Amino acid sequence: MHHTDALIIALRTVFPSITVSPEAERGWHAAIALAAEQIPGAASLLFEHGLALSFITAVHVRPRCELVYHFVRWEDAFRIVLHLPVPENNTVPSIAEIYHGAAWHEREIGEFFGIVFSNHPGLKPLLLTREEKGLCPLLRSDSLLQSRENVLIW
Amino acid sequence: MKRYIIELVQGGASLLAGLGVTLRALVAQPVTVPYPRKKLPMQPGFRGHPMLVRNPATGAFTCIACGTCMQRCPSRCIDITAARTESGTKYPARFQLDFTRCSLCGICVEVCPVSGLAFSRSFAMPHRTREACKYDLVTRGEEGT
Amino acid sequence: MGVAVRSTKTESGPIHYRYFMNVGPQHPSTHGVLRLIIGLYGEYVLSIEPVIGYGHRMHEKMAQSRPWQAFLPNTARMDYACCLPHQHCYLSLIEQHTGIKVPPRAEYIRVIAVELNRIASHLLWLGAFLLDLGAFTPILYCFDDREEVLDILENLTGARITHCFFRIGGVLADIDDHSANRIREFMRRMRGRFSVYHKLVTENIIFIKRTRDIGIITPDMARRYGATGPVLRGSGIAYDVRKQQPYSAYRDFSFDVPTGSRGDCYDRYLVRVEEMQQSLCIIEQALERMPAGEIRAPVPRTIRLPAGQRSFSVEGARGEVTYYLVADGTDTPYRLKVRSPCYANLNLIQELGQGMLFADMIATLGSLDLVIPEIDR
Ligand code: SF4
Ligand code: SF4
Repeated sequence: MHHTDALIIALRTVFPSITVSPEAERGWHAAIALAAEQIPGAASLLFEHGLALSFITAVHVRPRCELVYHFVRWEDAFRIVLHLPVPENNTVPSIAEIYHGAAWHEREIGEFFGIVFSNHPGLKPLLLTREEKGLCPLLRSDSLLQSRENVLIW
Repeated sequence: MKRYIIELVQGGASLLAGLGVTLRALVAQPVTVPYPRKKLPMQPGFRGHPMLVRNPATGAFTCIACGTCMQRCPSRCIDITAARTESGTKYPARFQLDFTRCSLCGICVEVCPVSGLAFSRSFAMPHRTREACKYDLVTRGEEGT
Repeated sequence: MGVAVRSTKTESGPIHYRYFMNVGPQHPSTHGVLRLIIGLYGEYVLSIEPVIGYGHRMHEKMAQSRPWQAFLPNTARMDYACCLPHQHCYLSLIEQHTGIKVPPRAEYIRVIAVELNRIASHLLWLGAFLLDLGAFTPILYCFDDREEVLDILENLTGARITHCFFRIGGVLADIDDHSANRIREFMRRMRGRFSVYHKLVTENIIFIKRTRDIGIITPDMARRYGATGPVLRGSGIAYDVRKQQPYSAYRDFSFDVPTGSRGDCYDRYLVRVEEMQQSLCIIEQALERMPAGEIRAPVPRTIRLPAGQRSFSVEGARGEVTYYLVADGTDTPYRLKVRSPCYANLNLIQELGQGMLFADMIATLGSLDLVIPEIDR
């Protein structure tokens, strides 16, 4: 647990808003809300502390999509979640340089939600075909959309 | 050079050991069966397509055509036409199961309030057309399949 | 396979040819509809670009357009070789989210079913992997054993591959004495079979030559790509969700997490074979200590998912399976994300395959134990 502390202390200095729940009631031990330009820094910090990328996904909420990054540390299955509201220009810096596995997740999010990742090695469709470009199947229609505070509760 | 020879001998021995396993299988009883001529017994727990259950006393279907299964089926492959007897009880005049879409999940069997559905034990059901896979369980049940 | 040639003239002399070769989408060694665009220099692989999505069915969209119960059959159709962990994960997530307690007996039955499924999956992998390496005989032995497991599972769950066996708050059928004895009998048989596999495969010099020091995955590479499961454990990292974050009844059992030392194909093979033995151990303990009682908790007829988010992870046969749920208070999930282990495990072939001989690349691909429908989802 000493290791956990080092990580949390390091994170807390950069992200004072971090919430920690040792019991992992929702499936993760710590959660951070951050802004788009902070994500490469946060990813490098987590990489230096030996965390692996579990997955990246997005949720379509009002006003705009929110990216959700899940990281895990192998030694004790310590899980940390980063929440990132997509800014107005719909562009988020890619973390594929740090976590190479992120490239596919970002391509998938790109085609499903129409989010653009800057500095990405090649943002072509992954699971859909080229003809289906712009389909964005996981975007919800206005009537089905919930606002961020209602669903992304932690 | 010495290592090479040791590896050669050990490797050869390992191949012979593997061959020994194969040879033993060659003289053992076959584990397969010649399928159409001989069939393996069906597992008792096997779940085939859903079928209508009859009341053992009266011989009538216990289904009351309430439509719960139709509504809850994830694949939406059940279609029921309900009718009423003279005494006013509902019964399924037609109970269509589109077996091309059924995923055999068993949710319909589970949600039925009167245990009107059960799993059949038929598994070899080849058909030539798509239409033939749409079973009417009312008549199919009478055929005894 | 189609071949395209592109030539590059280098300054220092001869013309280098770079061939582009398509492996797949329908090729026996990709075990599914996977396409690899491989750049070759002679027999050497310069680049690999996997093309996936041929079997994409948009399960996540299906999840958010129907009530959550309707997603239950879908969980069996992603990882066709080992679907029960997916179902376990999905239902545990819903149960935790709605606060439904599962009776201990049901958890034990779930564990037994999942471990049997894991053995079946590893046996399938073993046969298919050796087939990739050109050995035809072992798959027949594997399928002989797998048949036994599938028979047991069929009797228990009603299906051979696409089981839909777990239900909210419990399981569909109990393991009675007869089934328990059958499982015990299978365990006895299976324990005796490992020596056959060792003679046939583990000690075989051709197998060792084809897999030793081939496709070495370093822990660093695994971390950058997020590899999990036997692929990660073969590299010496003992990360197993059953151990690190015990869920269901796994806390009650003692078992080892086998790891490799070099991270090559041979280590991944050893890890999986040892994992089968550990699974047998878990099943044995579970059968012995099976608590009496209900196999299904009483649950309300309609279950709504309270607003909020939650994730749940289990250890599948190929690695960590995670389901991430966002709910808005109705009975339909607002968003459901499925994290499939093969997705990350395939991803790393792009880096791992570079500079390999073509035949070694096929061996490495086989050692990753890919199930393509799980990647495509
Ligand atoms: S078994 Fe499942 S898919 Fe088939 S009819 Fe019943 S509910 Fe529908
Ligand atoms: S089979 Fe059962 S659930 Fe379906 S309509 Fe008949 S009574 Fe209702």
